[in-house]
Amino acid sequence: MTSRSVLVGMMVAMLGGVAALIGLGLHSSHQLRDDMADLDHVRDASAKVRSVSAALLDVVTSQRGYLLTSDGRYLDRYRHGTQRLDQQLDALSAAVALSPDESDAMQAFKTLTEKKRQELDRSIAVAEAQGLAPAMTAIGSDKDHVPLDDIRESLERVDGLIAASQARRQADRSASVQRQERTLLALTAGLAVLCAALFVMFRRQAALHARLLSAESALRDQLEQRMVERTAELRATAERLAVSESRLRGIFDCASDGILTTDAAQVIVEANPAAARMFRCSVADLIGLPLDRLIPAPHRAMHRQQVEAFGASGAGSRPMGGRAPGRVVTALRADGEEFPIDASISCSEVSGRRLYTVIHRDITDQRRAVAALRSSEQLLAATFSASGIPMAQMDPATTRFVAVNDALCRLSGYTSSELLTMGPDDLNHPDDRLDAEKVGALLRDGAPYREHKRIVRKDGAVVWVQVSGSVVRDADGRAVRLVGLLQDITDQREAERTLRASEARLGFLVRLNDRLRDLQDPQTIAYEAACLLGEFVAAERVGYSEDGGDGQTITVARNYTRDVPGIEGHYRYDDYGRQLLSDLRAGHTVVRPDIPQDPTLSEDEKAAHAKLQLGATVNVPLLRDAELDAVFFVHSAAPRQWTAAEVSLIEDVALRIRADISRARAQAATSAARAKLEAALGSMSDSVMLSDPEGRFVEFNDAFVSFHRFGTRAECSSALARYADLFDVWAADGSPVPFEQWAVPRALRGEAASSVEYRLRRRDSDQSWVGSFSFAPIRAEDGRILGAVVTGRDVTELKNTQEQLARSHATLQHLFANLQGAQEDERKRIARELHDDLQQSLAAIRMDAVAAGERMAKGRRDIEPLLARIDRLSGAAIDSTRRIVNDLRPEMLEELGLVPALEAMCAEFAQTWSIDCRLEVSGAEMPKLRDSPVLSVGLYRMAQEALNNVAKHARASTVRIQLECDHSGLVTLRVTDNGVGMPARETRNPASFGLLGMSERVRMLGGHLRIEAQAGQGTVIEALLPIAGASPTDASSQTAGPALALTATDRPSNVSVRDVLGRPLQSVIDALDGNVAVLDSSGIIRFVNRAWTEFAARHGNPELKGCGPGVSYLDVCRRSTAAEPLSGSALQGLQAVLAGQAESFVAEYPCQSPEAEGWFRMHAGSIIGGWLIVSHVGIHRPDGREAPAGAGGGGNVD
Amino acid sequence: MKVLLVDDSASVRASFGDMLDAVPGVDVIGHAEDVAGAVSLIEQCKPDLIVLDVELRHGGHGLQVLNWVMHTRPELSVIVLSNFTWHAMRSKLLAAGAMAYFDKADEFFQARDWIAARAAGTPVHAQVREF
Repeated sequence: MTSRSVLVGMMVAMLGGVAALIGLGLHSSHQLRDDMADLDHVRDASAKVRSVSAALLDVVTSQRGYLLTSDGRYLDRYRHGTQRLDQQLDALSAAVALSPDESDAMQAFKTLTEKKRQELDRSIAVAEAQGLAPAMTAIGSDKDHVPLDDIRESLERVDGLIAASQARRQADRSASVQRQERTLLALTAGLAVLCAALFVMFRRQAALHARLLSAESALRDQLEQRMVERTAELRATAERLAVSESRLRGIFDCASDGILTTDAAQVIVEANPAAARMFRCSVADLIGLPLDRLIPAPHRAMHRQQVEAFGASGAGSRPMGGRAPGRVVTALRADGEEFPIDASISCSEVSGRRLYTVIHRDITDQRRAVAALRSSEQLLAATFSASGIPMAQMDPATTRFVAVNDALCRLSGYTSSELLTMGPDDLNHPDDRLDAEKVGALLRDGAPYREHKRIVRKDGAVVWVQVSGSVVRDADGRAVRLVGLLQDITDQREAERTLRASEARLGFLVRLNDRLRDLQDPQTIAYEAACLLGEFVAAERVGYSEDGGDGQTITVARNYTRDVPGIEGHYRYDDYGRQLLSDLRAGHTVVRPDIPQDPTLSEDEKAAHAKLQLGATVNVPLLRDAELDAVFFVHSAAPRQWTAAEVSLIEDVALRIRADISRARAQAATSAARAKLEAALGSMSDSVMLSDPEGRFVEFNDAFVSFHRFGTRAECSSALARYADLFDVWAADGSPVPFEQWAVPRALRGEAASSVEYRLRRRDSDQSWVGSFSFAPIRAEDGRILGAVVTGRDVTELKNTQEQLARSHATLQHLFANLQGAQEDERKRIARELHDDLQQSLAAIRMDAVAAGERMAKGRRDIEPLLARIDRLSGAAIDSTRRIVNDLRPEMLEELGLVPALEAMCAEFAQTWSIDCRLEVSGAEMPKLRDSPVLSVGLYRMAQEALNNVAKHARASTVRIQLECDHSGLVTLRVTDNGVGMPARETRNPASFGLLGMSERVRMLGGHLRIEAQAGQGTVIEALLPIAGASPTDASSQTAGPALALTATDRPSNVSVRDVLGRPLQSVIDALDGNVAVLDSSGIIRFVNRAWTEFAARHGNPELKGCGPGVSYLDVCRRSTAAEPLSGSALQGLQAVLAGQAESFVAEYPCQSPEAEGWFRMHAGSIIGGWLIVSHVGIHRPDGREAPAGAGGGGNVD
Repeated sequence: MKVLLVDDSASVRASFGDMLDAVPGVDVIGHAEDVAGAVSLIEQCKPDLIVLDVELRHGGHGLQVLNWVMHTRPELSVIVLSNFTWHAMRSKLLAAGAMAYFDKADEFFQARDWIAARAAGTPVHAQVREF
């Protein structure tokens, strides 16, 4: 029964203890929540006051900026700032003050701020309306001026009140938290693990104070959160305990904190497993053990007394080890190890018995963590103050320094205490103020903050620093500190500046190089360089001047200027300082930084400088062969301290200009030489090509392009080898020429030749032509072959012309021969007629007359028959004479015209040959023929020849002659028969059947002959002739040979051949390349051709003395006989032709003239009227010996 | 004496024939105008004397007749009466056997006298042959 009572009592006591604990926890929780709410108010008010202060500061800064600079950006910032200030003031009004003092202070601050804002607005309004100066005046005289210090004081008062309130709340809160902590200690053994984890984290990040602070806050937050959670958990547990003891026991057993219950005698009556684990023994071991056995022996007595005193005091519960916070109780494990515990004891009466409940927690790890934390904090503080890196901590709300280190003091020159009254902008250079936006971003988002800026040391020196900012936040993420880290980067900046200058200089030199590279004109080069340099060094005038060469003056050409006039012209060195010329001549750059103050210059010299607006100058001499050649100058209108780098750059540029001018002059000379060469080559009609020793074409002219049948220069390869693929080459004798025997390889081997004929063929287009090549090597003075020059002339045309001429000549010869044959036939016919007919008749008449006379003498009477016969014979003789005369010269044609003559011809033909012959005439233009006797004769003769052909060959029964003359300007003569026709080859061989005469006659008259004649189908011969333009002269100039011959036939020999034919015959023989002379019937030279004249001129006889017109060619031959035996035979031949004993004479003879050696053929042939043509033509002898042109004729006379 | 006239001109044959008819002892037995006619008549009529022209009808030449006569009837006398006055022609025909050569326009009298003398039996000299 007793034991049951004890058990019940213990259970009640336990229940009561737990309930007390729960109540305590709940109370603490509520209290904490209230504390936190107060704290929030304080923070809110404080933050709002600070925001107003910051906004006001910003506005003031902007106002000052605007008033000092009138820069619109400051004004914008001002407007923005006032808006923000208004918003902040509104926010401040809404802030809750916790005390009347606080409320008053805040109100005072707000009022002052608003007043200040109005003052600023007024000054801005004045500035905008009237300008800066009045604004400044207005500021000075503003009676409502609110000193910033007043505001600052007010702010500090609010700050102080809030800080005091904050400190008070903070203390309350800390106490509350501690209470809570103690309560929680009993329940939250797991927190130790968390602490351990935090410790690891702390240790890892000990170096960073900010992080540690954050972590500390986080720890606190978590504690608070756990407290709330555990409180709720505890309440739930209590509720469950009230329902079930066993469940309570479960909780008791499961608690992670040790729970010991003792009786009044402090003997342990109950222990949970956690306590047993903590003391490293079993629950059973603990039961019945005096409580002080768990304390190290030295403290046991005191411990017992304290517990008893506690029990006697009747207090509900308290931490063990005294009330002081942080007191730690040392406990003793079963194995003898001492360890710190955080323990609470509560005392309760259960059924009149006092029970002590001790809830304890092993805080070994926690203690270690706290110790580590403390040492980390010390380390951080030491680091901060001892670091060589300047650092400052700022209050984020005020952005004023709250902590600075010695390094920052050294950097800024201010003492620590001075700095602590300042903010960053008190250090920052006016142009590098704190960027509120970036700071805002850092505070808000933790955006990286890193800036290069200048700070102004106390001594006024400017130092470049790199500022890195970071933010320290509390548990709620609020920024509690701004930490600024400064790094002196003055040296770095200087190095960068130097580097930039160097880069700029390099960039300038590159630009200069680019600009000058393609320039050719020295003046332009100097000017462009001057402009570039002038812009680069910001000089007023830069130029290049050449020494006058007289030792006194200098000539300034076009120069770069900026805001000053140019100084083109001539100047005397001595006007600008006696020392100037000698220094320049010595090659020294003359630098004058301050001419007005230059002690080396006289007043006159200074005046001369001033006239040119010279404040500072740099003159760089440029020497050539140790003589002053030019001066490069740079002028500044104002005095200027030229840096060594600038002077060096100017000198570099001067040298550069000199080098480029030299280059340009050399290029100009080269290109002029090249232009001359190209012009010379271009003007040559012969293809010209220059090759280097490797056979590459270094130069060729346009004629080269066309000669090789290329379209453009671009198509011409410069590699000789390429041409081997493109061309076939043959020698004049038709043998192929291998590549190594081409002109270029031959010339490169040192051969030289002229007028070598090669036939070229392009393989791609199959074009072929003949070139006459000359080539030679180009040799250096020492005889080395440097290249080759090859010229080529297209002689294809020449060759063709020569061949055509030869053919033409042959045709002429043939025509002469034919003509002579025809003429001979005609003569024979006439002779026969005279001989057979007329002569016989006359002989018979004579015989009859003689017989009649004899008979009369004898008195005979039978003479009448004789007389009758004489009469008949005489009549026949007259007829015969007429016929012959008519044949020679159709008188009827002349007297009556073409149509009657043709009618008569037809009638006679029909009668003579018994062939039906009809004439048909049509066309309205027939009368025109009367005006053209030549055309009439031509038509008549053609009809005559056609009828002759019909009579001789056609075996026709009818023949029809049609003559048409219409408006087309053509007259047509058509002779059609129904005879046997002609074999085809006969029509192609116009020499036969007298067709040659007809075709030549037609050609002479500018017409066209058509012959239709097929075997067995008759023959049509049709001649189409133009009515106009049939003058013998015109016709003769077209086809000279036939015209000569046929017109000669038309014209009797009593008409002067030369009068009629002189000009055309002249042109004909001029075209012949042999030497030709025309002799009259007495052997007198009447005219000669051009070749004859040229030949004579070549032999020193341009006047044709002794061999020109008017000279007897027979005499010429006679004179030559002495020197040239063959001339004798020539003389005889000529005489025979002249005498009509031979139609022509040909002789071949060798000739040794100074210019040629070879064989000539002399040909003499009669033309008409006893006239002769004599020609001398160079020939190829069968034995292969060649005969170049030019020999024979008149030239060999002398 | 029987005389044969060989001439291509009918007028000459008629006129010269009339002239010979008036000569005593001369009997013109025939006229021929070409070589063939002449040879035929020589064969048929056996003339004593032939008066021969150089150019005959149809391209014939007196020399052909003369050569034939000299070859087959060398006893026949042949004189030439021609319009060709060239010395070369005269020499050529005399060399070929003609007894005399007369110019038809100028020497027909001499020709008639030569024939008359021959007919009268008077010895006539042959013309000197020139080489």
